[in-house]
Amino acid sequence: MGTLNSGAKLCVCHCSKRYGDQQILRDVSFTVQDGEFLSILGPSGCGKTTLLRILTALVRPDEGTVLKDGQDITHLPPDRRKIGIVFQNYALFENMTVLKNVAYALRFHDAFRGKEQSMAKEILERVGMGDSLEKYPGQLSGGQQQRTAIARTLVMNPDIILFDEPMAALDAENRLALRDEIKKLQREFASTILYVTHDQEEAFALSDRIMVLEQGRIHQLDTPENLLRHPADSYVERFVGQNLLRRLEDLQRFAGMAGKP
Amino acid sequence: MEKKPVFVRSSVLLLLLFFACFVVWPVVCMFSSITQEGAVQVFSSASFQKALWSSLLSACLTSVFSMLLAFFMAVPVCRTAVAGKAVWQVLFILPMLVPSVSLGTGLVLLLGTNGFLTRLLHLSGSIYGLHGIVLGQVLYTAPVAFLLLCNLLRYEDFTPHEAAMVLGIPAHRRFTGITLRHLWREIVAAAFLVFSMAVTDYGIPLAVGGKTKTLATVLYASVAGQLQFGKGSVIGACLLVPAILAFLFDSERRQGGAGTVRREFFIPRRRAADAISFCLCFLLCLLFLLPILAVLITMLLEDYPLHMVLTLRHIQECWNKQGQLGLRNSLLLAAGTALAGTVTASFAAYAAARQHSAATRLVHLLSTLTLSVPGLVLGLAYVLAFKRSPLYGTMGILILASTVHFFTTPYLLLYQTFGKLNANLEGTGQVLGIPPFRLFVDVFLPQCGETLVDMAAYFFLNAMVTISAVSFLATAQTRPLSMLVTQYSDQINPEAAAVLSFFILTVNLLARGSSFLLKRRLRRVRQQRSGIE
Repeated sequence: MGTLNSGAKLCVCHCSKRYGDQQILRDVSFTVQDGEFLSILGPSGCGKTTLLRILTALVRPDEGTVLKDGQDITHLPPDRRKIGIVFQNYALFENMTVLKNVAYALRFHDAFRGKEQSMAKEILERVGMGDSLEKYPGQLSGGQQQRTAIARTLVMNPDIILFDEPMAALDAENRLALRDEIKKLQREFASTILYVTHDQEEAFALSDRIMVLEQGRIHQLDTPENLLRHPADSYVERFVGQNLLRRLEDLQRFAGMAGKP
Repeated sequence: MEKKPVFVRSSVLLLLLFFACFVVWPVVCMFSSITQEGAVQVFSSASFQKALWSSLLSACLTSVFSMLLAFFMAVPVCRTAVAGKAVWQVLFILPMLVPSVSLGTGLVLLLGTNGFLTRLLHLSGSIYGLHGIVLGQVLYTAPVAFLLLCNLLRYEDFTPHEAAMVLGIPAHRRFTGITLRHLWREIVAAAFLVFSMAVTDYGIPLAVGGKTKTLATVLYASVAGQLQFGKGSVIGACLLVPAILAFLFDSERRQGGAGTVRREFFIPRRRAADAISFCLCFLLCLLFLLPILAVLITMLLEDYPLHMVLTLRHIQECWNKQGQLGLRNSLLLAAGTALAGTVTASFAAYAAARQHSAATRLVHLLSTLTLSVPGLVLGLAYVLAFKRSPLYGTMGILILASTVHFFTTPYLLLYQTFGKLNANLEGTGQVLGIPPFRLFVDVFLPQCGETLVDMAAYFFLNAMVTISAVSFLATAQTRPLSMLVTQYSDQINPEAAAVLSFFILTVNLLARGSSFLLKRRLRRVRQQRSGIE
């Protein structure tokens, strides 16, 4: 443990997980700094969702420990970790209004009881959902649903927020707009964010650092720039390089079109 | 996460205990009351062999005719633009709202020696016998087959049909080449179910069988009349065979899995086809409604055919004699079964659909397996298992038996609905610190309102008409209307049987109507909330 950065917000040490014959995570270790935006990038089935589920205690690792603010939280249950999560399809409570969705869970926490309505309203105002309080999730756009889900997570005042491919359910246009919003939210709430995605562009646009995960192994965890300039191995080079190449081609084509007199 | 919530673990434990006590244990009791010489004696007797033969023959014929008839009911309703679709759908399933024995009584009143149609059309020959049983059981099973076929046809994908239409393939070839090809397993499964219903029903053969006995009537007579439990158990074991075969066939089919992407059928208006469909629906409706109509008319006649005066005397007499108590018992039984069944099935479906573990898979298996135990067999097994317990002779045991007997269908309805809800709801609940039981009550159940209404209605309607599981368990104090109908029909008192059938029909129509209204309300709320106006 001596090598671990004691100032880290979150520290995952030697975590492994297998389901039957399948090794999902192999000896994964990394740290996240306070206020950092870290993306976990990898193809489907690389173990990124399992990693998030371990952080929220929805899955118990076979081996390894999880530290938050230097304290071992490996055996802490999900609701006592102060780690929030926004799931892929948001998992909103379809039978409750936006306000109720956000306020509902508060009544089960002594610290918040009695203040549910005002807390939920305040947070919904801050994410820009103030005029949709009485709507039901089915009446919202994809983006509004996402904001409701984020508000439901934020209202519990978590130290860290996890996003599990939050853009998967949205169309391309919405994605761009919401990307900026997530970034804005992070600045506003000064949160630490772990963001799972398989969209490289998204990861590069949002992150302070990016983790490239494949077959349960971390290939590289570095800044976007270093990932491009100094890929750790041929996988990262191919994975990130291809993307860069494609974007370069797009750019050239665009430039070519624009350049024609 | 790996550890299931306390309420799930305790409900799974209770459910397994429930199945062990009220399904496995009674059936084991029944089998253990079979002795070798008893079995040999039954199997070698000529009457058993004759009954076996009539059962097989009548059930086979019933399956074929019932499926054919159901096909001619389902295709107009699902695949043509026939006028009055909703009306036909309601009328076609009307026979399901009365006990099978009432349909048998209706047939006798129509086609018996002095039947309405016999006299009107000067028919010769007799309704009693194998052909009567087949006719009655077709009336009894075709509505069920109709519902099953409707479900299949409604959820068929239109895409391959559209492609075939572009290629100019005619409708009947599309039906054999696409529909039958894709759905033959489901259709065979439906036929199996019809067969199983026919083999295990004793109400129709009791009313119109005459001298022809089937396994179910022999079982009924030997247990209810002669208290020969050993003989009953042997026959009960025989009746388990087709149901278990059907279960095995069905579970193999279920593993196939079905695609979820489907397109709605486009149904054009075709004048000729729609007109033919209308006539077909009308004729078929007549076939189904005539026996029920005969029952209602008989109830209002002083003494058919000698004294043809309209009167309410029979209703009054019946009400004063046993009708009141019977109605009270029936309502208690139906409401109790609806409540107990819906609650039990909700816990079972939640555990099996949302909390995967070896124990919940066992709950699922047991929940689907209960369909395989015919009601008559279940009733006999309960007698043998609980004869000496304080439960015996109470309304409680009737509710228990009905809950178990009708468990599978409502359970599967909710199992499927739960399965469709967002997979991360439990995870969300855990991270937000919502107690799992509250999540179940506040989030899961409210999203399944329509399914819950369907479940309760299914339990209620079936408990109102059942004459199988409760037949050996009801005492003079707890006897429901359906069993009184059986009793009067057996005593050849058609007026009394008719009055009580009318009571059952009225209650069931009211129940059906209110469940329809409730569901429509819930659907409107849901649609408003999802922005569909």
